[in-house]
Amino acid sequence: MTDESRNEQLDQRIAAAKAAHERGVTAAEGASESRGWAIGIEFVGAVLVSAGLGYAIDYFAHTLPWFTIVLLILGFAAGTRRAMKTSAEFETSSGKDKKD
Amino acid sequence: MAGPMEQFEVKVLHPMQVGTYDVSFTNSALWMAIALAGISIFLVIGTARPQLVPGRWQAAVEYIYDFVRKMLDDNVGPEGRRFAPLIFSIFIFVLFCNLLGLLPWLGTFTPTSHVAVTFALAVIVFVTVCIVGFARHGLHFFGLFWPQGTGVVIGLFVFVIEILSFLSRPFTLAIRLFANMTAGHVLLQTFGTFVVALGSFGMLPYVFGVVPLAVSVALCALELLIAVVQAYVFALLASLYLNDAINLH
Repeated sequence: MTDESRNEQLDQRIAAAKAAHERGVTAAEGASESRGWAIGIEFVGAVLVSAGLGYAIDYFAHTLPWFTIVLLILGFAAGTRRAMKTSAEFETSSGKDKKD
Repeated sequence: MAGPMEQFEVKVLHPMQVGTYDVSFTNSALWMAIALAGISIFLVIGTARPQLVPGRWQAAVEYIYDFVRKMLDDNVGPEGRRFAPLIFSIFIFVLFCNLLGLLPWLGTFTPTSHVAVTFALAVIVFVTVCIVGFARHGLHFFGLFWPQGTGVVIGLFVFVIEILSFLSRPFTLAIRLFANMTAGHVLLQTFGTFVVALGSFGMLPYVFGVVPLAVSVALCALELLIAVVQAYVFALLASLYLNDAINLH
């Protein structure tokens, strides 16, 4: 066996060992996963709350389905707004963590 | 074998009634009380004999308190320190409920896996934010929802959207914690069941049982992480909401 092929084999083994080592979920990855979910829930929550509020107004004012429709659409806007705001807030708060 | 949802069942331990309201002492209440007792013991031991160079217990208590105070300093500013007791209480209560629920004994219960509990906590935060906002800024608090430098039509449109997004906060705060805890415990239970089911399967019981066992071990570590991170996220978002009410912007 030549030196070169042995070096290549060693490279491959190092790469394989590194890949196996990195496959486990790190704490940072777990934390960012929860943050990702947090943003998704913000969006869904805003849509559901808006639609629910619209339905409640309709129910008591006997105007079905108008407020539900209007507030559902506005709810999508509110959800997008919340998702953007939450991700921005997470970014600034984690940026501050790094500074210390 | 117990189904994956059975662990969330609220059982009445001591029936009680006030007027027409059912205020029975349940396993949920029991575990909240245990969490409270655990917090009390932890804090009392940690602050019993304070020393300049803290011992282990004192260092642990001081570390958690400093962590909450620094979070408020970073996100709210100097005025946020007045709310450190509130945020600290919420943080440590959620943390203890989450962690105690992970104990693998028969009958452990996670109060934070129920919307009733998490929503009550979220409402405390929401009501505090509203009271602080109106007390400090009066009707200017509504300025939080009004965009700057736009016309009346667009302004009204954005105003409604901002109000809706403000109202959705307690719900998302509650659902996030509840969903994370519930999903985690269902996963743990499911994979735990797989170990038993596959372990008694065919000619190679140990081979098949080992795989879900390995997943269960990894999931336990992940759940421990999620229990702490969710308590942190809850406290972090509560302090960010307080920031809105204190420094309108």
